[in-house]
Amino acid sequence: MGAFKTVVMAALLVIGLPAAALAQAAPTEGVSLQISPLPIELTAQPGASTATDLRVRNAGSQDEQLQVRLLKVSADDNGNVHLTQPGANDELVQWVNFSKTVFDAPPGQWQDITMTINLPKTAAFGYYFAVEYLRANTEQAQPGKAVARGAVATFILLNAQAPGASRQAKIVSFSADRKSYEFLPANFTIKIRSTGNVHVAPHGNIFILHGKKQISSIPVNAVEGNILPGSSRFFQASWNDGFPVYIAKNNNGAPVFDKNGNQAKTLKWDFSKANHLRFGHYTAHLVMVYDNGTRDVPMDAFVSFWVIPWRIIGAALLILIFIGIGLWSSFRKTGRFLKRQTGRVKKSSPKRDA
Amino acid sequence: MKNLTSHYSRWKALAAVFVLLLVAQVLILLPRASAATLTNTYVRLDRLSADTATSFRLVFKTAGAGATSVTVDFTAAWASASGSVNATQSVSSASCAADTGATALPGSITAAGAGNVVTISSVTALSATTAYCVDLTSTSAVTNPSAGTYSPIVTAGSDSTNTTIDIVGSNADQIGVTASVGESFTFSLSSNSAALGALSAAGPTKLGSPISATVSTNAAGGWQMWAADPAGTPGLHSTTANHTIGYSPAAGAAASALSTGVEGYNLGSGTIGGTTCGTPTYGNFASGGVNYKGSGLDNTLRSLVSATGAADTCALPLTTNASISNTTPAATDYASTITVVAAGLF
Repeated sequence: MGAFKTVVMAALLVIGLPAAALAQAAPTEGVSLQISPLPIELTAQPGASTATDLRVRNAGSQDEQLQVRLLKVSADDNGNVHLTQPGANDELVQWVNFSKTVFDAPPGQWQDITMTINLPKTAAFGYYFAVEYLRANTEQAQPGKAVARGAVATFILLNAQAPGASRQAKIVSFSADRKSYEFLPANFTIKIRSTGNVHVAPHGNIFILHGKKQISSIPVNAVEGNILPGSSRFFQASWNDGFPVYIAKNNNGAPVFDKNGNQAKTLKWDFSKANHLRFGHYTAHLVMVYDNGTRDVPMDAFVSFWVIPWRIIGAALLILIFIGIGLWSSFRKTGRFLKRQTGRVKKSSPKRDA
Repeated sequence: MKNLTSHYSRWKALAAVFVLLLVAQVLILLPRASAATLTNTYVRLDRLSADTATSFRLVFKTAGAGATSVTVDFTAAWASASGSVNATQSVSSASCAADTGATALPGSITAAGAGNVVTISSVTALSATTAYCVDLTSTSAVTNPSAGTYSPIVTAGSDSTNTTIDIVGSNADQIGVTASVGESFTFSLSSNSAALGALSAAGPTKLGSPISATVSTNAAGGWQMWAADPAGTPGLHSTTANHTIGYSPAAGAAASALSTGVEGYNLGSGTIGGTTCGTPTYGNFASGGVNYKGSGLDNTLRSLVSATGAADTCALPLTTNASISNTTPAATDYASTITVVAAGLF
């Protein structure tokens, strides 16, 4: 009986050890993680393997035990990026392996994880997922409290090079936030849809034309952000090369907001740019290109708008009116004076003749 | 002998000896006008690479006093090895003294080149045994010859010396330094839990201090933050009372404020703030500064905020709000869990 007890105790101890190790208490402070590189773009042939190194650093001050797991990534036509848990039968989960999935992360130290993707022969075109890093022992609900679990993710853009790959994009819309401005900036929004089966990274410029003369150029998606197949992405660009120009209002470096929660603006009068006073009808010509795998494909669109600095025009008109009134008054006085002088001369002339 | 010892002859002999001694003394004591050697002298070219135009610095210590010009003769060997001296020179002694500890070459100095020689003129008379410095500041003051050792002659007044310059192979005088900065993304939560305290039907309650979700990244493509409630029945759940205060409004709905006496729970986000935050686009959770305003969560990660460009310590304050009705079951273990995920965009 004593021997049986010993065996049972030993068995329980052996079984219990990993559980005890995993049951390490989560740190009491909020998670703080740093990851690099990001995002990761991979290209591989169907049936082949590809590997990449992932790095994560515990940027907090307490020891952490971290885990890595996969999230599926998708994007919609409104520019939203969605992260979802993959299902057990999700094929992507079967392809991806990590050199370690749970590991200790002492404060300040980088941890290297190798991710290997074994593409099946049937794989084709774009696959998009994220590697999520989070505490291995997630915080449990605490009575009377709201518990926050933090995680950070690295996006992986995988292109399985197969016949029929298509990188295509089109400009869905190109608009300015107003039809007329008193002062710059003029803010542009560009919506581009990826219509192929592999992600694309269109980039280009908005050329500002006054009449036929190009007066400015604004880069669009200069960092070459990607658009996932079947989704759209919005890009913003701003033309602020004017005088005066609205800038975001700050108070000791902190942004100031109006009563509607929007960032307050203030006019900046930089007289060194006085020759950049904008007035008239302008056309913004958007020119973008994307690489379709064999060549750069151009796309373009136009939007027109007015810049009418009515307060400056009003002030100038007022000054001109005052000057006009002053001149008119002076001429009138001079005219009367001359008339009076002429009248005196006429009156005195007969006497002299007499 | 009688003549020699005569009074007159003795005086003549003494006078002659005196004159001879005087002449000898004058010849011995008067300074002689002969050339001396400059000491502690060097010509420091700012580039030592062959066939490269460069400025240079001259430092020398005088022997005698009085020199009003200084020359550097790069010699014929310099010229025959494809070296040259620019005719147009610019000269300054304003900043060399601090570097070298020597005296800045005095005067309204000017410089010009002719043949192999750079001449510095209009120098205020130099003192003896004094170290002087001067910079020939034109980046093309001289053009270096092919690699080798050369001996320019530095002359100040009547004193001079030879210096030595080693010209090295093309660009062998510089060390190339390269570096790269990879993209990285840092995310942290200021706390992993916050107490809502005792809830009351008299009015909604919010977290005493928001939990800050902070992002720093050099990823130019922007970043995004999402939130979800991973619980099977999302909301503020009490195990003992077996009751969940559900989200109000429901997940995916636009933000709205909780009402007094109406059961509900939500997550509200404030305005991002920090050193650099880019241009934000808020999800449904933006409270706009209105108390108890937020939106609901479920198992789907829903966007809290996305922003363009890089971020430096950009913090999003997160607040949970709760409201109970008169019939909400009493319990001390109402709790919820919210997952916040952040990533640099592609």
